[in-house]
Amino acid sequence: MGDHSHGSPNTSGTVATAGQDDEEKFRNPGLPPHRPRLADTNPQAEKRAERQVAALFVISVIGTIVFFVGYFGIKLEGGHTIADIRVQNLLLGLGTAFAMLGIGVGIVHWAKTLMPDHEIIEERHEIRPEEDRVVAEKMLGDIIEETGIKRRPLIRNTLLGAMVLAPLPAVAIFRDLGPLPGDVLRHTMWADGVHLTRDPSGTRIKASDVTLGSAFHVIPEGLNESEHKLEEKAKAVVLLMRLDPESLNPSPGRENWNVDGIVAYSKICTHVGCPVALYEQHTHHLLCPCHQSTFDLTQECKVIFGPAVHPLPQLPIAVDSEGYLIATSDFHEPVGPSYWERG
Amino acid sequence: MPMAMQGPQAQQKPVQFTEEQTAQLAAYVASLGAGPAVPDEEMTNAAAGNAAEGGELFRVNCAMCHNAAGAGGALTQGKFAPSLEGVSEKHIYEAMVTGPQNMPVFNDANISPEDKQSIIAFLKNIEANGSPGGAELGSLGPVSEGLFIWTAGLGLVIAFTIWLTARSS
Amino acid sequence: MSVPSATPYEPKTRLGRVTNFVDSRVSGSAMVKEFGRKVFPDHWSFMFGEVALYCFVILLLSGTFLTFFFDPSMAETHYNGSYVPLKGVEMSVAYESSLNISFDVRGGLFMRQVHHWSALLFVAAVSVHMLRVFFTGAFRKPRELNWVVGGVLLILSLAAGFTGYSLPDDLLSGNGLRIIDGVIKAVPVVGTYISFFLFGGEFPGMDIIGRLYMLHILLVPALILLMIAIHLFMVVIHKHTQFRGPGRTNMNVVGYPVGPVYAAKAGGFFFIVFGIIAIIAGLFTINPIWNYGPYDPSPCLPVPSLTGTSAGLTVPCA
Repeated sequence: MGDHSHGSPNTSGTVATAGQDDEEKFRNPGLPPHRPRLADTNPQAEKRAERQVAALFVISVIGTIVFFVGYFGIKLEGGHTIADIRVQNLLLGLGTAFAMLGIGVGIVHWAKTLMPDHEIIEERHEIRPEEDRVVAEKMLGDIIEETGIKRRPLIRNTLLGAMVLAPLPAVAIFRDLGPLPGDVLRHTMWADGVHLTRDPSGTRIKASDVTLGSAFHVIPEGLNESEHKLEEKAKAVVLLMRLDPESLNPSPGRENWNVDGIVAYSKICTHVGCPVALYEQHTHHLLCPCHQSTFDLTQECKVIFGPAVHPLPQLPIAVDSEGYLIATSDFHEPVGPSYWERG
Repeated sequence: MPMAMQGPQAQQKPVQFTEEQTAQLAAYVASLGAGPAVPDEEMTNAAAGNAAEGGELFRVNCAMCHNAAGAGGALTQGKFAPSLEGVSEKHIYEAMVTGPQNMPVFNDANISPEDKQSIIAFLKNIEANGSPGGAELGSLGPVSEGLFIWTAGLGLVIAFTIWLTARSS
Repeated sequence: MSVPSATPYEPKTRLGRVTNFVDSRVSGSAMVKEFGRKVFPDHWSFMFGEVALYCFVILLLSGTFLTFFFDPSMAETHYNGSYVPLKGVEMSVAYESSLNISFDVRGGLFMRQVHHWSALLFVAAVSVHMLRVFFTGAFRKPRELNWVVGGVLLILSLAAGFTGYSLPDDLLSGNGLRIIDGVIKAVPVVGTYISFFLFGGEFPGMDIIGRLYMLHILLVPALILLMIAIHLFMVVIHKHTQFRGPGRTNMNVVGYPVGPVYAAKAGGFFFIVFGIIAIIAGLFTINPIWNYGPYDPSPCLPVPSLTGTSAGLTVPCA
């Protein structure tokens, strides 16, 4: 194993020397005597091995044919079923498998049974012979001397300056990869008067629709027609649930953020941004499936388990004159995962 | 029925009432006030639903707990959303409309009866067709796929390498 | 060089003439002389690196097939292919082209599954190979640098896996991207800037799949190939390690010669690995993107589906 040239085997104490020392502690017994295989001595065994290898190659041919049958025999031009695709996948797989395994196992069997199996000893050589090092050292010395850089500090210093600055444009040219973030992350589509609508249909939601134990997936009205639909959706998705008003305990200033126990919270986890979509009706917990952050609705979505730090932002809601639910403002804090400028 | 302890999933216990007694209980409860009724045949007819729309609704409302293929999923503290495979259309409809255990209630104002039909159509469609790629390994996603390759896949490879380097007789 | 010898070589067969033509122009003889009977030790635990190499070759082959059919655009479209449960659904062109490969291109699903299964086996083989090297101490002098190159290869394989499974723009990998975006945004001071530069604006934007495509088919494979070349070059120079045994010393290598035994076994093993991948890809579904649906920031998948990933070890979930 390995080349233990970093220390003399005698001093390391953990390496059994094998003939490296004058006083040989262990004599190298040499390679064990060669044991012939069946095919080496028995001509019938040899013929049998040959036939086996040939048979394996024939299996490979059959595999290739199975592939062609599977490929050309099943057309995917419309009107085909899932079962058709499944059968074709199976035939292509089996065909390729036998085609490949036939060749592979055949060649390996050939090598194992018929090719000579005498072990050969090859000597390792020093990775870096001393004479090479000496020559290389002299060459490098000559090369550096001929550039004259050691005697010409003016050239050296200006070269350094130029070389340090020259790669910078290669970095700067990537500036237009994207816009600066600005304060885009602080604002969502929600604002005073924006209606809460069902995701994905976009139909308005009445307060009376939201019964105890319900969970509605909500998007702001107008999202489906917006130009940057997925980008807005990635900040604006909301979960709407109804709890018994007694169990809510709103903190000061948030008493009018709910409508008779109907509350709306951002669906974007404050850990790294997955949708916190799992609502457990009786425990009133919201579970994020990615890293299992758990938020408690009776404590304004405070984090009760998991890696998230900030509670889910709450969307203040009210009812309009026709009974439909509307937001009364945007979220009061940025939604989603924390970032440096979030504050 | 609110359970005494909201912890691990409540398992189904031996049936206490006969079908007739259950129907009588249901009639009595229905007489006390409004509430969802047992769906009739027409509402649970999968053929009448739109599987593609049902799929979209399923992914938004259901897949987070029940998995994109309806294979089920884990919730907190030992609860789980069970697999939907082999579940009757009626049972699916009733579950949506009543919200069993910690499943939210999807009343008809949230997911309309037509939408419920579409969800059922979607579920029955994927159940009937199966996967075009072969055996599904539980439809659980990358965890089972990775486990399979590390055990069966690597195991098979190692078996071949041991055979390959073994001395032939 | 081409010094005429006393009796110039005259090949007798046609093959001999062809070989002589090439050899006198590229000095193949020198290579044959140096490497033709090079000795390699034979133990099954030494073969994991080979498994990884062959998986990479299979990835290149199956990946090339896929590039003929995949379109990395994030433009919006409505599905009009043969998979009924997604008919009319709004999705990106990238997702649609992945569905097209799976349902409407013969051999497309098979190639996708070959590609994905061999990506998993690639990472598994690299990991097991590193474990073998570590526990047999084969990373010690003079092989420390090779160990580092190997570590870089592990990271690159994970990068290739991550960029690769994100390409179909499905719900599962899209959530993975969302998490990466959250992680990047958490970087102090410059986090939001890096995030906006990477995604070309707010998440998800219209650029990311195209950029990941470039990384996945150009930059990362090129780096992997470079690292593999350095890795194998060093194995050639250092020669392979061997277990102790009779006749084996620190200063020799005992085994079979490259030609013909080792080349036959190693070459045959490539076909064996390909065959194993093919049988798995023919029998078992992997990454059923049609179930996950197109990426949308609203829906999610349950705990077991989101844990771990397709490339084996990187994370949508800790």
